[in-house]
Amino acid sequence: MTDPPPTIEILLVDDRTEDLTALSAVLAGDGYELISARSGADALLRALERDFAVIVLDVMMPDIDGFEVASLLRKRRRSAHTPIIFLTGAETDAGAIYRAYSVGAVDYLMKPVDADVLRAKVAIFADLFRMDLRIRQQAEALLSSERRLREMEIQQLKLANERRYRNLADAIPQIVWTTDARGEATYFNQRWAAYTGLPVGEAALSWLDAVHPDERAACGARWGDALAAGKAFELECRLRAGDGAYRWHLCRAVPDRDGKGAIVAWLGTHTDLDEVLRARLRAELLADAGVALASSLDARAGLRRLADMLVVELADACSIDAIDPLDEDGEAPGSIAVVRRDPGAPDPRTDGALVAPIVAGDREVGAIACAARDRAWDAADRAMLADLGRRAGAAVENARQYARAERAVRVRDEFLSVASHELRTPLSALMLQLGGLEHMIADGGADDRIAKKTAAALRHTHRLAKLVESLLDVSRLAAGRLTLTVEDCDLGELVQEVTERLGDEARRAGCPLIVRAQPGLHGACDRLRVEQVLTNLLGNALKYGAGHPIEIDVGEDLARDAATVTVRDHGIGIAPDDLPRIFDRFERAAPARHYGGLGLGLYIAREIVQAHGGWIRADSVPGDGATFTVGLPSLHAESAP
Amino acid sequence: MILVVEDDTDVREAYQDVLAEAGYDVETAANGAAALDRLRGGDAPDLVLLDLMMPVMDGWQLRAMMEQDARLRDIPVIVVTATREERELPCVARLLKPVPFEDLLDAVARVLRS
Repeated sequence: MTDPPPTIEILLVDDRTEDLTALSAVLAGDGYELISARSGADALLRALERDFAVIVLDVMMPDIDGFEVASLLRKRRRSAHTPIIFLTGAETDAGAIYRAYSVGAVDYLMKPVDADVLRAKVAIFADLFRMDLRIRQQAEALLSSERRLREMEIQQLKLANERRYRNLADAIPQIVWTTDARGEATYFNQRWAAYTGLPVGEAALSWLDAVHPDERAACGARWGDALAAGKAFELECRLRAGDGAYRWHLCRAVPDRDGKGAIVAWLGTHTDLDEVLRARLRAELLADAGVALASSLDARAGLRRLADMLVVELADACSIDAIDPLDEDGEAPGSIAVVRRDPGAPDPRTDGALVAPIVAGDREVGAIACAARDRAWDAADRAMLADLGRRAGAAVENARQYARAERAVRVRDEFLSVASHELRTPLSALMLQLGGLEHMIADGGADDRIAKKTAAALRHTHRLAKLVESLLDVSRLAAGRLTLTVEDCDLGELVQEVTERLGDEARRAGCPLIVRAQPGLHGACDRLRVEQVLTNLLGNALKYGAGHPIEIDVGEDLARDAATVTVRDHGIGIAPDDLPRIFDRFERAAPARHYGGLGLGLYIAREIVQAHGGWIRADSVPGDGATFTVGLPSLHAESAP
Repeated sequence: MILVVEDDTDVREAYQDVLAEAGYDVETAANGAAALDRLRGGDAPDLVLLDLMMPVMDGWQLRAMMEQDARLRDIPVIVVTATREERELPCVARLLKPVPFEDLLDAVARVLRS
């Protein structure tokens, strides 16, 4: 730095003009700027305005003397260290000199002043001042250059940071933008330009313009609120891409505040959620559709719900056409057609943009077609619809299988019903004619052998009639047509009747029937049906426990408040694995070759007992027979009179 | 006299044989319409043994026609049903097919005695 040499200012203070003139004369010509003051007050005033290199101060002055002026000068910051040279009279004593030093004098001169001495002393202070000034200037210069350097560095850092942030903003997959404190766009990253297809300059318009019209108002309101409140903004909305398609984004913005907390800018991001949301939507749709299709065996209902879901989640219109599984046997197979179409949506059948076949097994049994006003589908959507097509196909196939099975069961039950009816007609004639024959033999006293054979034929006819009745019972039970004719019955008597009726058969099987009946158990039941249950159980006991006694106990299950009948045989018993299924239709534990029967007796027995609100259970120790217990809650012991 | 109304020839003949052998006068009709002709055309029988499921006119229809005819209304009817679940109709007894010999004669005897 080449600043001009500083002006050295010197204050001369003396109340006498001639002395001031003398002083000025001595010091003039040395390049000093000499300021004169004619009184202490004047000197103090001058010292307020300037920085003097030295003050030459006369001690003896009216009003305020030199000492007082010096002490006042010392109290001021500006003049606290300004060198003071006192001028004293010849009469000045040592005390005065001492006092002069004590108030801050750096030197003193006696009047009359020796010009050379004054000049020399002033020169010393002037040099000191000059040096001091230079040092201060240098320090200042140093400081300011350092400050400039720092500012430059900061500026560079700022630029580097900004560049780095921009690079970062351009590197990340999100759309990044900034606005000023009022929300006016100041920056958008490359991603935004790439997404919108607009040149970078034009892209930097308000991002709200790109928001889907459906969400724009709400989005703008929310953004306005965030700006006003200085609070973070977050919203999911669709943003228009360059190709006109909309994609879901998570839009977020946070305020950028300075050290004092004032908002200086807003930093925003748009994160593309479209894939995530669509994937989530697809997963949900698949799961829901799976449930809807699987929850019903009515294919039409399932497909209708599927169409409803598709129109809500994927399209504006949907048609589903499939072969009706129930009409399969018809000459012209019927079809299921489900169409769901929002107002104004294109016809999916003619303008379907997303189509998938409904595939059951390896057959195409229909198609799903979707159409939309302004929606673009991607490969994932197509894959999902194809998946739905397979699921719908499975549902249609299930419904078909179910319908077929149901039809088969219905046909079989109808057949059983018709067959047993048809069988009963000739049985009626046979039974009556044999009955008549038996009667005639008894009256006519015919050959014993004829009588025996007739009786046997009649017995077989009864058995045949019972089998036919079982078949009819099964079809009746399957159709849910079992009705009870309830009357008041005595359980002990009922058991007695059945055991008596089966007496002959028991004797032939070599089974003594041991009946232990608690008397007085009675209540409402269908006599004939309960007899049928007991007949079936006893029939089984005779069949599987031939040659061993059969115990029949009539009693009560007090815990379950029901009358019970227990039939216990000592035959082959039932294997534990077989126990759970012996009450099922057409089931039998014993091999059919060795033991006859349709496998219907226990099934019918259980159905009848359950129709009475009761239960039946079987217990067995294989090899040591089986025990069947029937509980009938409608029968009780007579209450004590 | 007992009027047997039954469409199946074998069964009809069986009823006729058994009842005749038991000493009853028996006449037969193969369906409700024929039975109604017989009932209106001649002396009232003491008992009608009525099958329900028949062609031309079934048992229920015949029974309804008899109800409407003051002369026929009070003739006792024994119904022979295929199943116990069949629709009810007014009668003095219901027998279940196939009817055992004794059950038939017992029922007939009980009705005619009263």
